[in-house]
Amino acid sequence: MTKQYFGFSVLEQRSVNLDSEMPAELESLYQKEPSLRACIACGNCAAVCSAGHFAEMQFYRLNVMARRGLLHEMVGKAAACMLCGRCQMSCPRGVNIRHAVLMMSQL
Amino acid sequence: MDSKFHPFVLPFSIGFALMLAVLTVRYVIWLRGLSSDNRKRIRSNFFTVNTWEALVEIFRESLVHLKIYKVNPMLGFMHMSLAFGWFLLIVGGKLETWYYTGDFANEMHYAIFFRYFEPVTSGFWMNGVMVFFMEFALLMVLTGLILALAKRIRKKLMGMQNTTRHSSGNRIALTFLWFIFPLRLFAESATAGQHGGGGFLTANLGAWLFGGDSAASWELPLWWAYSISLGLFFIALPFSRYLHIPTEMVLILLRRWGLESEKGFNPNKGLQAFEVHSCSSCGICLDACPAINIGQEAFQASYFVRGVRENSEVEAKATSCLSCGSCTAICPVGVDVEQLRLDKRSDIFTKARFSHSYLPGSMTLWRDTTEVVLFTGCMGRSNPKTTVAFKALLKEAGLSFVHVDEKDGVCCGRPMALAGALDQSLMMKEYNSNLINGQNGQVLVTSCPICFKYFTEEYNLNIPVMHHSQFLWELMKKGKIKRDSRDLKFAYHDPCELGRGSGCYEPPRSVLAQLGELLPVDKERDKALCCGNNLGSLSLPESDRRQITARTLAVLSANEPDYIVSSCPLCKQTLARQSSVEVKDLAEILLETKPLRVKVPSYSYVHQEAGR
Amino acid sequence: MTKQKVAIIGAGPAGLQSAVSLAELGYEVDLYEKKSRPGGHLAEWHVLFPDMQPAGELLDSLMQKVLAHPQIRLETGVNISGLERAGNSWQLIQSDSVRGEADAVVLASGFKLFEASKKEEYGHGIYPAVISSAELEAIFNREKEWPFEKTNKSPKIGLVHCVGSRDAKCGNLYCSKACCITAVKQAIELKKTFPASEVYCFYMDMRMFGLGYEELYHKAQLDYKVHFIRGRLSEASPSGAGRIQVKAEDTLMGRPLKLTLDMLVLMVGMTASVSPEVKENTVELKEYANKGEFVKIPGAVIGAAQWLKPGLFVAGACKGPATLPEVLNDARATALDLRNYLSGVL
Repeated sequence: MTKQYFGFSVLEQRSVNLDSEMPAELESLYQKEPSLRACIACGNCAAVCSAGHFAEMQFYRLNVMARRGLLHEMVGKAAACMLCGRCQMSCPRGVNIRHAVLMMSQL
Repeated sequence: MDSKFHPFVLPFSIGFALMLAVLTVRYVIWLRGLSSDNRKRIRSNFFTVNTWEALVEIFRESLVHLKIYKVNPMLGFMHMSLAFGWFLLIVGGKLETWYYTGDFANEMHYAIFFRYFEPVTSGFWMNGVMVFFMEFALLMVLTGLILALAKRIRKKLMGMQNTTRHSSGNRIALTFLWFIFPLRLFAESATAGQHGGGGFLTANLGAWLFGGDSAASWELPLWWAYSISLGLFFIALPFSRYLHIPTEMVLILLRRWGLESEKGFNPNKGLQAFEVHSCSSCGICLDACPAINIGQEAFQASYFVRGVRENSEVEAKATSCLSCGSCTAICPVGVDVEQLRLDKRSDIFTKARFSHSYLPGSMTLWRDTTEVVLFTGCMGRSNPKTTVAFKALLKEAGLSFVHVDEKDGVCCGRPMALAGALDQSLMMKEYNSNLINGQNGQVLVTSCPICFKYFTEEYNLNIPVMHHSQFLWELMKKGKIKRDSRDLKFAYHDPCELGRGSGCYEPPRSVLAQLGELLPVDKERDKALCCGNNLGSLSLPESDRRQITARTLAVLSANEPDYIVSSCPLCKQTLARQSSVEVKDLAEILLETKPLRVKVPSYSYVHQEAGR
Repeated sequence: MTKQKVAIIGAGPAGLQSAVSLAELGYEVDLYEKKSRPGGHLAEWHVLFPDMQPAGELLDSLMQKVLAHPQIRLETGVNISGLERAGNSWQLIQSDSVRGEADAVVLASGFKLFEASKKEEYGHGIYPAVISSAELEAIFNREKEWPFEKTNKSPKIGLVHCVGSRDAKCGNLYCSKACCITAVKQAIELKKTFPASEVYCFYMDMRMFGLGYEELYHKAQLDYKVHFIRGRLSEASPSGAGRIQVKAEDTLMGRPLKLTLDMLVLMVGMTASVSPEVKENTVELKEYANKGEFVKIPGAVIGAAQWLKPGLFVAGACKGPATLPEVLNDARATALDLRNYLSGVL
């Protein structure tokens, strides 16, 4: 493996590396639910989340993880969702969150 | 050569035999896929009155099409003319051959092409009846055919806004079908013209068109053409939507024998196969669908079932649909599309894994008895006005209550089930059951129809469950809440989950009728339009949902109500966002119509309450 | 030759400024206002961002110019419901009768504030402690009482940005532009009124694009110790003694946040007020009823004339959310376009 020049060094576990190739599943995720791209991580979904009373369920974070290619992390966290749909009813960007979570949880 | 045979009958005979062979093979495969429980049901119900009832239903629905007639008389008449007319031709043909030969067991083609072999028949008065009967039946089919043609050209003539766009295979089968009866008419007329005989149709047409010697060469080609179109139609039948003709009859039998759908998505075996192939693509579900002609994906039941039948990709169709149930409610064949769609969804999301093991166990502490256990659900949290109003009404009625999910509410599980993941809602069910059962209450009242449906159908609670509209009507009936009628006009919106989903149409209407005038709505009760946000839909884009909402609002506001009233937090929130007429929950209306002399604090009481 | 006449619909900042500019250019101006008083929303504000200039000062200076100019005729309480083309001029229709005629018309009907109670989860109209940003202005103007006890000198106050703006669920995808800076301005005013208070702004993005806005934001943080929290509220619920408990997601922490407040202010956005229905020779001015859209001017970006039809110009916030400086400049520019039209250049 050749060492790449970043101009700085960062612990690998800490960094998000957008130079690495994105997982192939990501494209199909966005293709099947294009509204995912509209998320601005405002946090409304997490604020209203029914599961969020008890567990670490923050949809906007799942989506950020997906965008950064951290699928493994994302899949594990999606499992807490109850699919109640409150987030979707209040999402200011019109993201079909329930559909997105369903697909995330089975990647 | 046998006078009862001519080579032109071969296309028919071969086509018919092929159809029988294919049908037998397909049905055997499907029947072998029946679960052992279902097989037991067949065995135990075969020699019962159920079979007779099924035969009556087959007559009513497969031949006379009474249900279609109820939805759309013109369309019913068309289907009846085609199906019942054809049936009469078959029965009449059989009787005819029996009567004239004195032999019941005749070859099939002899009855079908009877007039070729026996142009002139004689007999006593019965001959006239027979001839007239056969010609009348033919006329009936031809009338149906003309109506069907008219429907193709202008669907509005038949009272339809939308008709199914058929795939090319089905169009071919349709063409053969359309050729059959005109050809029969012409073939019989040609024979009558050349050899005499015939009835009011064929004798006259024959004399007019085929009387001369030059027309003699027309007779045989016409019989050939008639036979060929019959044969080709029969060959196409098991591979086209016309498979529904025999399949619907079998389905009616199976249903009457009490068979239940097998678990999972298996459209090529078991009861599901019969169900899927019973759909005739008649298109009645299209006009009923609140999302018709909206968005990219035509996901209506007719298209979804066809996709399933043809093994094509139906994922987007299954995930877009709102699951509002209007297609299932109106389907004349009674195909349970709702269940089929849910099965498809579980098939799509089969790998989705949810775990709610983080939910804390709930301790049942000793509690004082309380009259009402109130559950407002997830969506209720976005509708504080409804909750506050309902609590104020409970106070007015002098009832004690516990708002059980005020702080740590958990979803009832129905949304999970609507996504096809019924089995993954167990932990939520357990949590909520413990919470509710531990309250020592007398009745569980929920203001959310989604929760209501799930609580009644899937939970085993130790107290009865009521929707708040039912409960409020009970309180009014008992005189615990009293109102005078006012000069107000309401349009009531039936939530899918409460109306079609739970059969609750009257209580909210009864309450509103006490408070003012309840306006008629163009599509209401089991034909009500969805608000656009039913949780059944997963992938329908926001813009499409808004269009559906706008359409529903247009119907609700048509008679210029003062308020649009719903009794579902999801519907209310959805409608209110886009409505120019104020949208309120039933509880809000009931609270706000309180006479001033009743000294019960209104919305503001919630502050004192919370301060305790 | 008689002077050419211009009619202006709406006497808010855009209408007033258009009237002044056009009268200065030599036209006769008929200025119609639906309400009983001129000034539009400007008459409701307390002080203006970013300089904290009293809103009344600006309105007074505009009004003085309007009243002092002999060519401007101001009529209040007149609701112009439509326009009709008559030859080269426009007739102004007030409930089926012709109210006046003009060679050109300026539509300056402004905006409506988003109805805060439409976001029911925030509790406006249910809990007295939840008010809109416009109601807070009224409180600053001493036209309304504080919703908490007079003795409370250290109230905790929350301000929610983007209420009815940037919200697909309200059908308003646009940013109302003025709410972020209004929140900063109001937060500073609140701290000035109650130095011991705690003020929290809940934002999605801070949009400080205008001249002097970013500096004011900086000042709010440094000098006034206003707290800025990036996150959306889920709901407001009663918390006893008239207080409000809010639940939100703190997106920077990635954790849920709970806060009990004495007052919750909803920064309501702008929505369309009049939706013109343009036909061949008539224009119907329809009241916004939860589904109207801002007036769309084709080709506005490339500097085409700001008109809907020849001689029918549109000025100010009825074209979309705008701040006061933008509205005033737009009114001046419209006046210039209009002059070019009437003198045959355009």
